[in-house]
Amino acid sequence: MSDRFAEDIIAFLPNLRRFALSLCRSADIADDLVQVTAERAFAAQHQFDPETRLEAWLFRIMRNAWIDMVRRTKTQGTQIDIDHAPEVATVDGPRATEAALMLNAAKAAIENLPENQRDVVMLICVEELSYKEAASVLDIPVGTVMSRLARARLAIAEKLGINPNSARSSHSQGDG
Amino acid sequence: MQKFEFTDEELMAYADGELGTERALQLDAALVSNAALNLRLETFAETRELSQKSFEKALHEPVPEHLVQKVRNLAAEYQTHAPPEDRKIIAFGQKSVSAPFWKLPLAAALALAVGLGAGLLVSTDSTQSARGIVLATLTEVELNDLLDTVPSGELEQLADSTQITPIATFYDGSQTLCREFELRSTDGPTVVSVACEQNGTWNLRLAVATAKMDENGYVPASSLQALDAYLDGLNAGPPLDPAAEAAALQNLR
Repeated sequence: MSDRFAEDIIAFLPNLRRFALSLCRSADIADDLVQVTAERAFAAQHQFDPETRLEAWLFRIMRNAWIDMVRRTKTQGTQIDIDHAPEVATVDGPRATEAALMLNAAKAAIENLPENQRDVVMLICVEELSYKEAASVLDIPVGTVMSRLARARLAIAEKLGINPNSARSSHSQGDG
Repeated sequence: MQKFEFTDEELMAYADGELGTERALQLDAALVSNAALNLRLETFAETRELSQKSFEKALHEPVPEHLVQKVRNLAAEYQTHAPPEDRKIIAFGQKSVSAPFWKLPLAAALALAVGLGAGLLVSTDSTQSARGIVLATLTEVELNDLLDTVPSGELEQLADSTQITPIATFYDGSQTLCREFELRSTDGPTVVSVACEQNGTWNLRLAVATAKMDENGYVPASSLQALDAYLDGLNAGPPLDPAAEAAALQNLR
């Protein structure tokens, strides 16, 4: 693995920062989280199973690191308002197209989801993990991943006015 | 009215390419004639696409240089396990830390490899780049047997003029049983190695080979410094006494 391991992590830093930002909602804390993730990844390097994807393994480390950070520092109290997150200011004035507005609305809708729904949307829809990989990152059964993800997407669709009335409840089992 | 046949989860799984083949074929057929089903499916396809696109911009933001540097530093720290003296010289003498340590002058006498798999190939330093140092004919099975049974301090003569001597047995920071051992061959390098036990096999974690040994098979101190640095990194516990070692090895069988 040697240099390859490091280079793979470096290549994946943009994704790690993106997921970190979604977890902690603060650019500064996000970069700290990325750093902690890298440290833990190197320390646990020999535990990585090359049969699995490095991306999913890194997300798992990151999420556990985040849980630890929250426990330790009670960061939740210092979360910055999402409206002040630097990358949210994406509307470029008069040139903003309808599509751009839609994307901003979608981003806001995802950011405002309950945390456990937001995590599955970020991992599966944004980072393109499989259901199984996301289940392993979050340490929950695949069925729970699916019910959270379906509910999250129906909520996003509702917020954005996509195909109103098309959604039907499938009597998903709640998972809290 | 048509009976509702597919759950939201199933439609979503279909949109995500995760629905099982049989069910996916049934859904394919149903979609042909069911507009409402198409609309529901579209909701899931569209939310995925929008989610992805709405966060795409974040990927193009430049990554702060300190994060990239952090990863490179970690790589250097974890992969070379160079003794502190080497690190100091690199810090003063080399602008970039990206060059592998084993290519640097001070470490040139060492060939060092970490995390080896089967085959026991030790990568070489730059002066011998064409030739790998293979630990002779020692197979993984043989190595497992030897490390399972030979007490530390005892020399075991192998068939091909190679000797193996376990040096110590200890637990690392995560309570994995590890053994340090030395392999001497009359016509090859002396290799100092660390292997740790995992699921019934001994995995070679580190091998430090002297590129050249003197006639007594003497291992230069710099090799042992590299080993010490590595053991530090492992949070190696103290060597087990003979009775504790025997008990720990017995437990493996």
